[in-house]
Amino acid sequence: MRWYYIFLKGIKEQIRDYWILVMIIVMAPLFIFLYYLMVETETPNYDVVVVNHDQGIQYENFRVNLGDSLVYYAQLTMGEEELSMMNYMIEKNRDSAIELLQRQRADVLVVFPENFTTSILSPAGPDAIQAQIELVGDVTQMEYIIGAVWTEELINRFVQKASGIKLPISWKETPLGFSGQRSMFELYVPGLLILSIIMIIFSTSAAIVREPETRTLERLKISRLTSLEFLAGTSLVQIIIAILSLLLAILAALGLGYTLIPGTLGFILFISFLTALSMISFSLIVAAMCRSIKDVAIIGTFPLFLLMFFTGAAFPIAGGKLFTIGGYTVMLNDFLSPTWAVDALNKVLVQGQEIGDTRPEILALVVLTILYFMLGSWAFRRRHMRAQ
Amino acid sequence: MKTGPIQNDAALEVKDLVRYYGDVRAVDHLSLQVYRGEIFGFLGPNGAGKTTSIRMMCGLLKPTSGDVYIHGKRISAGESTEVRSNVGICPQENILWNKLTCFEQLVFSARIYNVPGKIARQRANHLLEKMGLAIKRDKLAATLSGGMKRKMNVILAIMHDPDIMVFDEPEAGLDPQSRVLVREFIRETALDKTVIFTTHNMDEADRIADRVAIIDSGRLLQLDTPGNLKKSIGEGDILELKVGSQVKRNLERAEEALKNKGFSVTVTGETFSVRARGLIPKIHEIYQILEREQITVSEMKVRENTLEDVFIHLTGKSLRQ
Ligand SMILES: Nc1ncnc2c1ncn2[C@@H]1O[C@H](COP(=O)(O)OP(=O)(O)O)[C@@H](O)[C@H]1O
Ligand SMILES: [Mg+2]
Repeated sequence: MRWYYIFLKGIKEQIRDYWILVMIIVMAPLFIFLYYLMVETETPNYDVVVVNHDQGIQYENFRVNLGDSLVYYAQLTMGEEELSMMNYMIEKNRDSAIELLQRQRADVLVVFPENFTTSILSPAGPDAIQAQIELVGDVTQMEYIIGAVWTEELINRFVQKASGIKLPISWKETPLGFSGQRSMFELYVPGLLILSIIMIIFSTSAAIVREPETRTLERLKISRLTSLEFLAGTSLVQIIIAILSLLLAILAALGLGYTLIPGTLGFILFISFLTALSMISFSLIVAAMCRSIKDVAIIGTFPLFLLMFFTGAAFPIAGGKLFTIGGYTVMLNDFLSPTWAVDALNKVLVQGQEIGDTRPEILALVVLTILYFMLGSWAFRRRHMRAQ
Repeated sequence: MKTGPIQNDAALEVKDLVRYYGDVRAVDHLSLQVYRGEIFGFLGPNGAGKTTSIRMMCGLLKPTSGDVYIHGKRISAGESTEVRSNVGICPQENILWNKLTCFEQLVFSARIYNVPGKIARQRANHLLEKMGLAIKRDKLAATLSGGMKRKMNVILAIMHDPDIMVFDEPEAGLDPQSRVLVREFIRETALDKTVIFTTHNMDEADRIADRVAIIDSGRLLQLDTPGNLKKSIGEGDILELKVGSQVKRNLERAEEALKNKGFSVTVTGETFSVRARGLIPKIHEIYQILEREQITVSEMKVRENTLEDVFIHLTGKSLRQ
């Protein structure tokens, strides 16, 4: 039961050192709020502005303007599920349309030329007149790329209909899992949940380093307490902090419109628990490099950033190719356990896979945790537990 | 009643203990036995190697060479918790859990030695009361004054009721009143226990130690009861004469003359210490010798031998240097 007294002591110290506690627990909900403000919270939406220069042709008593028809057709298809994320609007001239792009009111500008109708209605063949349709947009923007692809597809369909020419191929898009229905915000949430766990590196390292810093570790060393009991008691405090901070992050997400897939809370807790163990082990390595809590604040930032940004916790990443072995490319982030936690959560929460499908990720998480623990306790003992 | 030291029953023994810090030899082939039930004092100036010695005895520091035995069992640093839990230590610097209250850390430090909760709480309250810290019972250690922290350190050492208690300069930083309190406390708790303490204060060593080890530069110079140590440098009283700044040649001549008359003389700085049996009737004679050499005495004191004299006799320098 000696670990239990360490646990009680740890709880008291942690509460009395509330500034660390507050910083850690508040960080993930804060990030969630930040991301909520940063990314679109509705399902993805692509705004296309159309400028129609089409002259059309006079056919008997009425004018045929296929440019106008296309816009009308496009607006009709907005009701179809597949194209529901497209939004078409008309602008009189190119300059004002470009202004819309620049003010980010639109993602794609499509300009129909004067000869649009003429060329569609003229006979097909090697000498056929080609109407040049212009696409304008910021090519580095994901919204432009997706909007442009679907606009092209729409125009193809329309032209086939209007000209009576049928291409031998057609396209169909299937969103993976819930990805089609998930907003950008919701795609970020699983990573941010893991971020809430990563944050305990600070409180754990501080709790461990506090003892050698004040030399109270000497009192523990000459007592009957074992290192394992010390670690067990200290870890339990940190696991509670991790779970608290996770729940707060989930609540924050729910409050901002995140929908939790029923039956996944237990899975999230399980993965978070493993991640917490992993981060506690990692903290031993950090603690071995630090003499004081001040050191933790300075030295601890580096692994924190590494774990935040290279694991997909803060944003999706395919990080840092290291080398290739037997056809498998080993990445830097493969060695960072939160990577696997984020992957596991993404599989279930974003892609809608079965919990059982995350076995490889869980295995990797466990293996890395054991590795961190062995490395961490070796380094910690060497630095702080040895009689000098 | 105190049973007194039981000879040939060593609670703690060190053999040929050596410790280097880099090139500095802090402890130099130290061998001694501390008997069960005795109060054992380490007396030596700052830097003599007292702290280094007792930290090795508790297993907090690894000897460069040599061995420590507690109740006949060899301890290597970091091992044998069974043996180590027989020792309680009050380190030289105050070591406290700043974010725990006095009561909390007393109970905690007993619990990690498997002391049952009820006993731990009773003992904590009792000891706080005894040290005059009861009003600070529920205050965080960080808020205590230096003296209070020292007292907390003294009682933290004995919360698990160890057989061997080690106090490293227990009286350092205490006001005279607390000094007496702590001294009494150590004497009392030592009734059926072995106590080891260090000090650079000869008075402290003289008053409470059954035996005193005098160490300097890491070496054990002398080990005996305070009475025997004082006797070892000669019987009788000491006449201490402060002579102020004088002509050096005169001082030397006076010393020579006194020695010729059969007095034992030590000169440290501007103080003449003249030792003799039945000293009082001879003061006039001593005065005359000094006057002849044109030495004026600014202050005069007759006293008994102290451990300080023993130290000066052994090393030629004062403890306070
Ligand atoms: N951690 C250390 N590193 C280097 N030298 C030390 C260290 N601790 C003590 N010493 C040196 O060892 C000698 C004995 O010190 P110490 O045992 O603290 O003496 P004492 O307790 O008698 O004052 C001194 O010369 C001191 O400078
Ligand atoms: Mg010392």
